[in-house]
Amino acid sequence: MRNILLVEPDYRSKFPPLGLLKIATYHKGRGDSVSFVRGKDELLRSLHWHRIYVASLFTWELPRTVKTIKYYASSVASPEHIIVGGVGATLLPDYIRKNASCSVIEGPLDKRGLLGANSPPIAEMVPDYGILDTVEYDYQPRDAYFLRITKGCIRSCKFCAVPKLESEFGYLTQVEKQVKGVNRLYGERQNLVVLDNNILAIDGIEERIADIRKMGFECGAKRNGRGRYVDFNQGLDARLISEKPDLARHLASICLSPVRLAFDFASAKMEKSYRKAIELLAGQGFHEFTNYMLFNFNDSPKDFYHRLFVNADLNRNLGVRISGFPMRFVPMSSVKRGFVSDKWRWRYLRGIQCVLLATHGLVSPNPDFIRAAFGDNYEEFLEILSMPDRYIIHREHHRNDGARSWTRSFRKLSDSGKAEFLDALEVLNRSRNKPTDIAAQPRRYKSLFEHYYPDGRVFRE
Amino acid sequence: MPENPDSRIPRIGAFVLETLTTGMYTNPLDTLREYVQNSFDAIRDAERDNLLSSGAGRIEISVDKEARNLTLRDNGTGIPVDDVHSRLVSIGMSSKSIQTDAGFRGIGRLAGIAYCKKLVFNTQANGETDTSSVTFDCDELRQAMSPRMKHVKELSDVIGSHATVTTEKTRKKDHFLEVRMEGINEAGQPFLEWKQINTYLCQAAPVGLDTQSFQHAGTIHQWLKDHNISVPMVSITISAGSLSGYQVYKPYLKLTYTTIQEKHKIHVKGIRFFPEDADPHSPFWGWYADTNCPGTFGDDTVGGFRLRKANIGIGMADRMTEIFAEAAESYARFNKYFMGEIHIQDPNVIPNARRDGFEDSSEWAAIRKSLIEFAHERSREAYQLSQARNLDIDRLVGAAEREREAAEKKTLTGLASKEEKGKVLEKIDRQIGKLEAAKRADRKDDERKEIDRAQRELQKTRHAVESETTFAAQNLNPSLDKKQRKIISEIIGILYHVLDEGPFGKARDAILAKYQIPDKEDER
Repeated sequence: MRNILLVEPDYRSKFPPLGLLKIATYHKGRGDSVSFVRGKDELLRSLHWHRIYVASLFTWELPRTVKTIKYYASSVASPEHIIVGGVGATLLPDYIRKNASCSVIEGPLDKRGLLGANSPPIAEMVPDYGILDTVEYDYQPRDAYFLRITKGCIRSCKFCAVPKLESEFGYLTQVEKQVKGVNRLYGERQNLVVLDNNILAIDGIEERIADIRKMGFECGAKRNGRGRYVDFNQGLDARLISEKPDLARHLASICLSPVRLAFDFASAKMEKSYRKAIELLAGQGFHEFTNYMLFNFNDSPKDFYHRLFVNADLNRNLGVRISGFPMRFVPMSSVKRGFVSDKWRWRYLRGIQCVLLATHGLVSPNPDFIRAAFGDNYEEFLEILSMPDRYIIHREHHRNDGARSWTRSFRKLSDSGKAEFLDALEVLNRSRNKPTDIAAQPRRYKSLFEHYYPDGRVFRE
Repeated sequence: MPENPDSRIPRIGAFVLETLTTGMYTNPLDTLREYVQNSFDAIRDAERDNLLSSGAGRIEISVDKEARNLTLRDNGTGIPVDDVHSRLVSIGMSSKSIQTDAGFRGIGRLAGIAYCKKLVFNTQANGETDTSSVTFDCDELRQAMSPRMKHVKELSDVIGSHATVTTEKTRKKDHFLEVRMEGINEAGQPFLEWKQINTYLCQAAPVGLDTQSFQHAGTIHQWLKDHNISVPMVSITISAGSLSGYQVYKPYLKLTYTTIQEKHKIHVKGIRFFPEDADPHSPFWGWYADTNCPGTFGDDTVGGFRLRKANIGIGMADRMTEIFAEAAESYARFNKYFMGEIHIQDPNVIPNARRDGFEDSSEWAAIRKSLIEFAHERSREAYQLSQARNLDIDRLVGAAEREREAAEKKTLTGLASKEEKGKVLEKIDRQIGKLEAAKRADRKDDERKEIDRAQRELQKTRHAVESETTFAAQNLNPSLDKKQRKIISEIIGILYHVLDEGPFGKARDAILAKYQIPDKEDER
């Protein structure tokens, strides 16, 4: 019997760390004791553990992951007993190896022998939801099955980590087997979250949808008097729906909500597929949509603004509600979040963040909101993004107090002047000695800088 | 005292209970050891009755810090409904056997009274369809047994009126005993700190060695197997908050520890056993780590020899520290230079009521005697090693060099006699011994090389001295006749006896200068 500790570094995560949950199942099956913790815990660190597993997710959270690994280094007999895996470790294993001593497992745990001689394929195990009860962190949704039906993706988008994480596309495990496994061990769940990358691409998708339906998730399904839902959380491929209109009908046979579709780049072909997919789905009675919108990759602010209004357009014409979910691109090789692509500016990215702050990252489907938040036209859009953070966030409050005088000064600048000014803001943001660097700015921008850094102070919202 | 209706029956005041429970133990967690011991016995009974297969015994401790509760549950025999009253409510009427059971006095069970609002025992015996529950109202009990009470009450009345026994039908087939401390008070805070519970139990409870982490555990198990000795063990787990089912093991885990001031590394090189020919009938057996012995273990849970009876810790490291002190007062500190266990096997050696030592008996006295001797040997070993280590490398090698030079000079000028030769060899050997010891201690590579070199040269000189058969008088000027030479030789011998080294050297040199053939060196 061994004492096993599972650690999820304390980065923000919505879903439970399924990899760790499956590892818990594996170890408990061996008769080991398994404890789970988020981040650093002084008391748990003071104990001796036979193995410590550390999860990793986004590459920009790897510095925090490395700190967590080092924090627990003294709690195992030797460094190789700290085992690090997950998405971040698969994308940048060498970063972890270089900065901490531990064992790094790259790729999915889908083969035998990865956690010790003859260990079974961990990926196929039923996650141990029980261990989540011992931490206070609130994973969402609480009452759901989490499923993977397929792995990999048929596409090879340059911005996406999936081809690197799961290079082959294929079928994984039966829906029924997974759901019944959870039922047997932890009892029935209300909802179903499918975490597949591109489930619609699998041969016989119609049967897979039928599998889901048969498990009690037919359209309008209820359990204990409450409605159930199925969420293909990673999004559905609009191109596949537009090519195979029948898919919309199949999807309508289950309690799918919301429908998540990606609209990652604004090529004419993509836009056509996207519009058609929404039309088909709306025709089947779907109403709520979420739209993943990648930005800061090969797109420009203009593309982004255009996509916003494609959605506004669809909302108005089809009577649906598409909430935009902008997702800022960070290169897979980067351990920081600050990447700025050559078509974007730092200030614009920051501006978008500020606009989304009030709505938890969502763009409301309400056309009036979109106009108010992002401007009536492209020029206004850029002008809003250029404003000081607090003028964007508390728009009403500052409308007559500062914002008006800022707008006056900003509009006086020529295009090249605006560009120079926005560049200066980016440099200042990175500056380690802001008061001095603010004072050294050209006189002609003095009054504008005053809005960002009143009295030369470093202003924090 | 209230009037006694039957003067022939001695009556016992309730405050005696306080002496028997809270007054008994120094550390609140000693209570937990009592519960573990009871469970351990019940599990061993269950194993004897084939209710449990060997190794299937479990003691599960769970702590709810927010609700201030602690539960300890075992899957031992449980207590039959008919015995619940005599075994859980009566005091000191335990049916346990001193020879086979670890706990046997039937008192420890009530020790929890001091630390909580309610002390509850739930149990079911194998084959029965009832679970029994005994609840002690601890607040009331504490008040009734306080020595400050104006009206002393009879002990059995007090317990009778504050203990509730209930039974309940169950369909579940099970056998268990569960102790619950509910509403733990300030004094009982340690019961809510699982880290403290683990630290305590890993030293006191009859748990196993962590074979996964402690590389020498295999050596110990093999030795035990070869010597046919079995050590009883039980699985104990702790759950609290994020910690779920943490398995408690003995604290011996590593190959390297640091000393208390973190100045030195303690390397565990192997395991030694004593007596080496122990068998199941030896009064005791022990193991300890073979280390470089640089000082007191920094980890308080592993330092020092620990006495165990039936694999339950008796008095942590304190009893052996006393035994070391008995070997020699200044040796007390050496106990914690070591890490090891001494398991007492003699069935006639019985832990005292506090379980921090043993009852006096001739058997225990005999074991003590052997242990004092053992402590003596270990202390000398530690002392030698520490002497050697504390010497500065320059001083160490310098002293060896000086000894070598002196010896060489003597072979040059001539040794006075066989006796002097013996003395010189002795001095060289002492230096070699110091160098040897210094090498066993932790030394850097370059220092080790330096010591090796000094030792080689000293060996060479020793060899030269040993093969020297001509003494000072034999090198005397051939113009002297045999008689004269004999007299001078005798005079040098007498001077060697009566003078200190300095004056002797001076006198000898003066005599030799006058009567010896000129020194070869002077010819250059």
